[in-house]
Amino acid sequence: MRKDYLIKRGIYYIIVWFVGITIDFILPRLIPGNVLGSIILGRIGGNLSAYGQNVQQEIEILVQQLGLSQYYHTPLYIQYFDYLKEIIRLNFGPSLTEFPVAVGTIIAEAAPWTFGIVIPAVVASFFIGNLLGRFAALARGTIKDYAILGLTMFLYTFPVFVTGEILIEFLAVDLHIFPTGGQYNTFVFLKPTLSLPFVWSVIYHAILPVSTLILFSLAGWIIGMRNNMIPILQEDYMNYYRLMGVSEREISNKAYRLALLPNFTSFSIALGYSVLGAVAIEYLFNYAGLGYYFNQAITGLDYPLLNGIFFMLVTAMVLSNFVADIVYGIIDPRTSHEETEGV
Amino acid sequence: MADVAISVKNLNVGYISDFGLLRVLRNVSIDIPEGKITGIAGESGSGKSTLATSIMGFINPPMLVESGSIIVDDKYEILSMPKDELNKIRGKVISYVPQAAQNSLNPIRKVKETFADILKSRGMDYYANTDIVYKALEDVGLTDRQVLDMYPFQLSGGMKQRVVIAISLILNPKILIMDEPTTGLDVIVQYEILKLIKKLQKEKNLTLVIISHDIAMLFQISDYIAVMYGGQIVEYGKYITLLKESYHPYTYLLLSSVPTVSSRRKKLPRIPGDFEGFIRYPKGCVFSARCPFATITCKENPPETIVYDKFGFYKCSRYPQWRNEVSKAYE
Amino acid sequence: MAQRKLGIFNVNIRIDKYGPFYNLLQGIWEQKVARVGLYILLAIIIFSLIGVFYTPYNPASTQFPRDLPPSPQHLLGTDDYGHDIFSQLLVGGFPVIGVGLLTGLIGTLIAILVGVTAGLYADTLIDRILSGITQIFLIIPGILIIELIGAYLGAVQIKLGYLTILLALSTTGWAWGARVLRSLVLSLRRREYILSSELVGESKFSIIFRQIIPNNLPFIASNFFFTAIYGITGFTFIYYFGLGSLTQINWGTMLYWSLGGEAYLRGLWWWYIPPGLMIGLVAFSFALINIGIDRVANPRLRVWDVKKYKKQLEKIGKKEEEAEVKWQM
Repeated sequence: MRKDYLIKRGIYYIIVWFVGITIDFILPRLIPGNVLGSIILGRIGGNLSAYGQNVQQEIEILVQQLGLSQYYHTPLYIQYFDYLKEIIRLNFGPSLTEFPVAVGTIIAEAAPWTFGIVIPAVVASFFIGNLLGRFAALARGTIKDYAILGLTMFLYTFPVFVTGEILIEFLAVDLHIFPTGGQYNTFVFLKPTLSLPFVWSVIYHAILPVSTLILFSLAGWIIGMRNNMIPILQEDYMNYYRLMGVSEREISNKAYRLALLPNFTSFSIALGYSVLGAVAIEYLFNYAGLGYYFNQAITGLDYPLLNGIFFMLVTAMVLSNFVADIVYGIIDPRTSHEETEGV
Repeated sequence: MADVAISVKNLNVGYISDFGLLRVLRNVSIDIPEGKITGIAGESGSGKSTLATSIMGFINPPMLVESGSIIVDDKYEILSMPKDELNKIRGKVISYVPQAAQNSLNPIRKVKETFADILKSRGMDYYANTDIVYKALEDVGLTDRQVLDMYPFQLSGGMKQRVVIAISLILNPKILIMDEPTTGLDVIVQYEILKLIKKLQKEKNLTLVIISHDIAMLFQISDYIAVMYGGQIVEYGKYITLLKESYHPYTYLLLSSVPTVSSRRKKLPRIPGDFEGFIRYPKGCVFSARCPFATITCKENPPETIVYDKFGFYKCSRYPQWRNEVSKAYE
Repeated sequence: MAQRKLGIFNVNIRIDKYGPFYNLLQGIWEQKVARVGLYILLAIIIFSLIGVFYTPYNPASTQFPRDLPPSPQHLLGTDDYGHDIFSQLLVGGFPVIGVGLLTGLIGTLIAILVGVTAGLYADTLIDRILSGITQIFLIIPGILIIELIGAYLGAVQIKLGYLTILLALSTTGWAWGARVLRSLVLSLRRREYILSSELVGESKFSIIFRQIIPNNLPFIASNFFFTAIYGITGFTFIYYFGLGSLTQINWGTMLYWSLGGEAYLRGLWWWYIPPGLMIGLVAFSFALINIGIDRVANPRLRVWDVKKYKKQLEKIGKKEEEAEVKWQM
């Protein structure tokens, strides 16, 4: 039965994935009018020397990528197939803001940095958040509970980039504890090397971005764990354990383990959303990950790059949801025993 | 004369609500005899379950003990023991079978895992002690050990009840409190559970306290019976005494409402009204509002407790006068 | 719905139209958490209201000396362009609050529309289509799509104005609510009274308004605030990435300019912290109100008032530590 479930969900997610990609295909082709002219104007209005020199090539790239119909006469469905063909091979053409570097190369270089801050952040906030949520559940109604809830909720609703800015200003600029940005110390390391000092520099530079993400995502785990645990603690069978002399410590352990289970499903989805959070703060920290280039693509109207990163992000979201479904399927079969109602 | 297993003196338990402190148990005193079956009867809301959980020391906010003392087994002063000491004697000296036992089994753990949980909390490993577990199951009449590998929802109501009794007895307690052990079970299963309870009590010389609203059931099995109303024990004594000559009108009315062979022709008496609840507690005798024999004095002044035996007392100021009025009220 | 006889007519009096709604409001009001949130929101609204009538200086004026830290003349200092920040803060609120609340409203309406319809027509083609669309919007983040749109529109020099932002946010923020509502409707349908209503021939429309919505009011209210938070966050994101129209002054534009001016690297905390704080407080107030709604809807999450409990303990002469010991319940 599990196999069926997997295949069904898999097909489903592939469809969603296609829809996402198609959105990126359709959108530029919805823009009416003499778009090409506006685009070129928009770009040359900027820094000529950066991409002015290859205007002709640029026009060709844009025409093909965006399907500007006045200049590109192939019918829509052929355009779509061409588009899909290239995408599958992760070929998005050269980036316009980093001409002539291929978009694929940029993404390949940038993605590890993004995951490098997202994964530790989500793992750390998972652990810390669930423990804090347990603490809040056990102390519910007291000041400690309100303090934890209030603080973390505030950190969540506070714009994540402003949190980052505050960290930078006070910890990096004022107190010089952390660097103000960058992935590693560029004065010392001209390019990534496999050496301990380099790794240390990377970690050192990652602390602030990761901390910003952690502060931002704690609230979700805390509230989730707290809301899971409180009803469990009040269950009849928990009371029975208490009446049979099981210590409160053991009871909270049991309740904690039970409450933790559903959170594993959310773990992968949290990863997906944290990637979005990283998009927000990478520019701030001068951290050359996917988010940084996404920002660059938007402001620089670099459509090939935009397409590439959008593709990555959609894939990341679809994958994380798919994994969550799989995890849920693993946890769930415990209740898939044949339910025979007690006589 | 038997020894005292549980001694409750002047217990006042209440809980804090928006209206202030609501007293649920009012000045309750009772001595439970050792090695016998004592039944505690009462309507819903009479405080019987609260009395039971108080004896276990299980009083959680917003409940609290205002005053009183509970001494178990002559040595354990329940109300002043710290939590970890209480946990030590729970299950081992005094054990509890909760109401609606079917919901007290952890639904996502197999039966043996629940056993293991309890044993583990005593530092005992399940697999090293399977003999105890098997014996416990046999004691309650579950001979098929497959029960251990099942989930609660796979068992019938009667089986679940037996499992819970087995769990409660696994640490060989001296005293067992059972809250509504037969409620919710069909009549035949009820009978079997009652037989089982009687057998277990004899075999292990347990002190049994059974709480129920089913007074007929209690009379089948108890040696002593306490009747509760509105947070007080209005009568307590040997079951024979209560049956033949109850001292309190409420006891009499309860018994009369049970159909017997001899009362087939007569109309069964009703007790009019409902208990008003703990917010507007009556001034005088707690039962006066519904008592057909109540006088003005009854409603103004609470009755004295008349103790006639170590394990017998009642709270009515109009005994034996109300006895003469019985025929007038119900013929 | 009650029927009263008024003369010879039978008048339908909608007594319960106010019933569940009023009960919900009352329940929320009793929750301290929600009340704090309400107060914060009100305070901010009043603050912005003041800004409509009075600001210390013209918020658009750039005549002041630049980069001044807070002082009695300029309560929050000035920015890189010479604006008085406090004045900007006063006028910058309404767009944010407005877009947030309206997104909550429209988004919730769409969620009700889609979710309830899908639930009522469950397992039919309509349901499959609606659920499919819901799932797509659930998985692909709305903000991503909005930024994509913004990027393409940027080519033709179009920046997103308030209306566009509102539309974009409300059409992407309804998915989660729709999904939950669908399952709520399904579980409600299984209960017999809906079935009997359907059998009697009561129109689907009437069922929706008289049974489904009142029964799910807590969730709908919670979804309103939840979507409103999304609206505020989305608004902030859009402006931060430079896709929003910069012709007006609002907290979002202040953040955008402060980012460009690298305020955080230059110690100009008075430029970006106030707007960030205000935005955060608005969203925070929504979240608090939401917690209050949660507690009304799910009684098991209610916590008794610890302080009141301790006070009453003292009144009857008991000490606090006793209560503390037995706290784990």
